[in-house]
Amino acid sequence: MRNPFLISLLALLIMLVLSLAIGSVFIPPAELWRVVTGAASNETFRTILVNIRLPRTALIALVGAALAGSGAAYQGLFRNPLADAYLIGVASGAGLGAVIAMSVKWPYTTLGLLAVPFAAFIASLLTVYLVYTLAHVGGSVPTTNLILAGVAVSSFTTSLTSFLMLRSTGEVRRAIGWLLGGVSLVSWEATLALVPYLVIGMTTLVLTGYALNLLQFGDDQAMQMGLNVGRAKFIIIVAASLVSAAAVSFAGIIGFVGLVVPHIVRIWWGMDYRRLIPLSIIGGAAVLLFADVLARIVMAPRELPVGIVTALAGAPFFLWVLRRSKNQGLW
Amino acid sequence: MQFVEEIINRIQPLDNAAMQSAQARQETLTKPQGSLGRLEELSIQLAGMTANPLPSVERKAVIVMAADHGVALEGVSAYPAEVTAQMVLNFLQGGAAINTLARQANARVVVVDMGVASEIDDPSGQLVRYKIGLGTANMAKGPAMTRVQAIEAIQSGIEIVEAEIARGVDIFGIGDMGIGNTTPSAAIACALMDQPPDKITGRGTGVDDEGLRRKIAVIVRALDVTQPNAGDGLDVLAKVGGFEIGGLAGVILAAAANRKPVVVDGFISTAAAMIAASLVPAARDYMLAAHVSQERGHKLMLEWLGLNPLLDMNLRLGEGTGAALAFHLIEASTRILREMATFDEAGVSDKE
Repeated sequence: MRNPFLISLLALLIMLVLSLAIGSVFIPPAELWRVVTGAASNETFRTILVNIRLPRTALIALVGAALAGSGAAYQGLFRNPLADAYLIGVASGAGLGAVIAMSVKWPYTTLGLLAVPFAAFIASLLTVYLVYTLAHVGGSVPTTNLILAGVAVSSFTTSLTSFLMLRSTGEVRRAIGWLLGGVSLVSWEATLALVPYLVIGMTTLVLTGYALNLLQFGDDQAMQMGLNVGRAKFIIIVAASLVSAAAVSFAGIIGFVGLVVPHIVRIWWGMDYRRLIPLSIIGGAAVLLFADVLARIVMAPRELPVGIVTALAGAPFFLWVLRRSKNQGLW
Repeated sequence: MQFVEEIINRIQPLDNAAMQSAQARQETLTKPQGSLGRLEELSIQLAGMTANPLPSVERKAVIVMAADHGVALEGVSAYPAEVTAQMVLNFLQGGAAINTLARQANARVVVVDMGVASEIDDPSGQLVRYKIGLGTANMAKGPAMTRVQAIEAIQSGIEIVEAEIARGVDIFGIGDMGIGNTTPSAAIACALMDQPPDKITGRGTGVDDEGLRRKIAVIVRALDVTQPNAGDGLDVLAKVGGFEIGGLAGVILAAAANRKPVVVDGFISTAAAMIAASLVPAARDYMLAAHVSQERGHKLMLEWLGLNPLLDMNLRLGEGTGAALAFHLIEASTRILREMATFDEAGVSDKE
């Protein structure tokens, strides 16, 4: 397919419109346009759009972009098709932080409602730091060490999380919802607070595209081609972890998007990380928006946690793309 | 989110044809025209709400919602927060003021736990449980609840109303129970009307001068910290509201969407009505103000809503007590319209 940016941006635009238009009340796209441009519009539609749908659509798009962008970077970094932000402990750490914050009973601390995302964010970054430190041997950070340390630490923190959930009585349902990827929209301000982390992190990731291309030849080769491998890895890990931890802290653990969107981009548009990362960012937003629309209509008027839908709808789609793709042996 | 959207979309203006027909009938009843004053207006308004020229409000329900408030930690109430749960038990045992007044008005009392800070052991099995959380967060330090919780609270109110309508309820009253809840209510009013807190805030359950000053300072701080957006009712509810206030706003919206009148009680119910009206202005048409409370600011809030209270009895209890009292007048107005004979029927000569 030619001009991937045009196509992916178009897909994102369509998903944005769908996400705003679809719900138990259908809002015609013409009406959407009237609200966006501020022209005289139906008051009811305006309330539904601006007060109810728009904040959620914005958060979902940001989270999808963050997960897929960081997933692409991790896959490149580890040269492993199964890598995503969750491999080196972002999700398990965030889960532990969130459950710890939830088991602190009312009255809330001064952090109030931000306690859960804040604890998730901090615990997530601490976990990644622990993994990175453990994997660090003799001045370098071998990829295999990172993966193994990530798996071990993740198992450990996940077990701790389960232990805490079994012990606590009150908020287990909320914790399960969070771990399944129930997007919790704290407020517009909280969503906006995510933006700087995501912009800085994702911009950094986009700029590391060339370094990631070199890393595909292996650490030694990349070094011979003039890349400061240690520094490049460090920057990529920090940026990708920051982005994914910020997303996970607000959205809970949404699987599959970070794993699969980069693969689809790779199958359709090739391996070049200078394009792969920005395309994954755009595609991730589009895919998660689509999953969220499904989450709203599958059991309407009830809603599913979007994390369930991403895998339920995403897996068959991914397999279809994989079977259809002509270039066998991507890796 | 889905229910809320659907309900918002379903709210229609008053039915003109039914109102004209009720008006016409009022003019033929065996009494001088307009001599029953606001009872006549009330019956016509009820006809418009229900789209029925001969409205009936025989089957009544008072929805009493209880929740706790993190802001109670700031010492804004004369009572400790445990009282919320204790009063819920009192409601369930039928011993509270609202139980007595509702019995007299022949109204059901539906007691809802929207977010009391403890788990309530309910031997009666009557408690409706929609616990959104164990009390809100302290709004003096940050938003009281998440936007998602605000939507969940409204949705709970909608579900309760749909269930009651399925049982055949014709008219709703709303009431509240929550230690500290005049503080969020005053904050909501300040945010939506853009008024300074000292003009709205009153003594609630009876704090002293020192307590009142503290309460005003807390509201000033909460508005300053959370910066609620007056153009976005959900934002106001999430930042300085309460779970029971959100639930009651949901009751109002769902009643309006189903063309059922809803009787707004005191200060807290009126704050909920303001949230509902800021989301859907047309919902105001379905509200009847039971009384003007002793709480400062209530009169301004009713004016902002364009509501004219039926009673002025120096009430300041909440629980839906004013609504239960107002049921008598509202029912009286419909029975006048329905049961009184016309000049023709009675063979009485109309004035020339």
